[in-house]
Amino acid sequence: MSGLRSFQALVWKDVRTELRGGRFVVSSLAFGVLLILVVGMALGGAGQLPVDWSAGLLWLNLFFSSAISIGRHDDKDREMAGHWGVLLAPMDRSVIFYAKWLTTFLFVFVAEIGMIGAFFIILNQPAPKHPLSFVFVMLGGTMGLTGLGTFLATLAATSSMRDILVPLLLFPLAIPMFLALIQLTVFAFGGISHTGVWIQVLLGYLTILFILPWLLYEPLMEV
Amino acid sequence: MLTLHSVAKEYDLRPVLDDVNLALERGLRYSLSAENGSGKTTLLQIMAGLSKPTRGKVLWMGQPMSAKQRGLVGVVLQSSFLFGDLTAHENLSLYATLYGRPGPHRLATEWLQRIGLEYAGNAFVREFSKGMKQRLALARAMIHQPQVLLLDEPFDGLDVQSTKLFQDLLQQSQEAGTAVFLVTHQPTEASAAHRRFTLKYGRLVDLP
Repeated sequence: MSGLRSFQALVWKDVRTELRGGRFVVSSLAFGVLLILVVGMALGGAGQLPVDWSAGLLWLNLFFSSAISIGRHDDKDREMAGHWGVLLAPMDRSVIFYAKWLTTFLFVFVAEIGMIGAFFIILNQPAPKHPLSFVFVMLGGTMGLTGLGTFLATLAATSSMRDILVPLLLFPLAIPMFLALIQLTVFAFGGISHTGVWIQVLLGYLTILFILPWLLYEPLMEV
Repeated sequence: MLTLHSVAKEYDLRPVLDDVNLALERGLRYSLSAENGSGKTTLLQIMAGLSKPTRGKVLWMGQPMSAKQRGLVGVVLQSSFLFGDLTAHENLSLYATLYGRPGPHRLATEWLQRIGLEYAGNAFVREFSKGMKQRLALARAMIHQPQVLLLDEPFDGLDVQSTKLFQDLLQQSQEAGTAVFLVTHQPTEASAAHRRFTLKYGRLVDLP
């Protein structure tokens, strides 16, 4: 019960901080929309892209715009070492990870809504043939990317190269999930008729991300 | 209460602490004065559970410290452990919640009055002066009524009024049974302790 209260308090703290000028959503959204704009210009005003291309472009864009922000998500906490104060509290320290994961997911997802809108408008993409599947892929993919990113940001927390390390480590570790997300998005766009093993790959990532921090976060946080 | 058994700490094979033994008892005050870079802050971090010793054990009542027992320790280190984008009241009620205290909002209001910052309860902490942050950091460390209080040079940069407030709060806490471990360079503060220590080559040495 006290773990749940602590979780709620930490989520509330992050949401308040973001609403008071945290800039996570704004910077991710601005970077993502600019990237789509550059791609659109490079493709000569876009047009009809093959579905596997557009799915790849969409996730590449979402990956880079969120990876950069994830590494900086706790910068505000670090200004007065509030992140250390939280570690002193009498609770399982994995609660801190799960709260940070949820808020990162929320902020990235809000930014994604804008980016996805820009993607369809600027690249002149047709609406997905399976809209519900598209929404589920976006939710599951964002959950997976933010979970992995938040965990890596924790591991790289004490490194002076944290800003570079998180995106650099995130990409190779996320490759199988990345491929799964692209294929599932192609399915949602109507490019293929079955999802194959890709749902299992995504669910496997999510399962690991739900369990692993609970086991590892406490010892990892002791320097 | 809190006991250190042969605690040693190394950073990249460089020894910082070596064979440190210490047992804190209820209601006593301890002071530690030593040169800069001698390992004082590292020792406090290990006692608080923020850092793991390379060798040795940190025990609470003879048992390894658990997450629950971390809540019996209050810590003020060089950083305030506060959140600049939250108000003073929000910071205190957040910590009261994290420590599982009932009525976190009421407690936050009470502590703001005790440290004389009730007028700044709704101001953002990033706008605070050093002395105000230091007072708020002490309230944060004491809001859960810890049994051990670890303080790293808490009087640095404080005006006379704030220093007096700090001393009074520490005295009250000590009378209520809290063990206070104070890192200080101020001879008057050090001399008020029941036991005084220094660190020599990483070892904790009693001072007369």
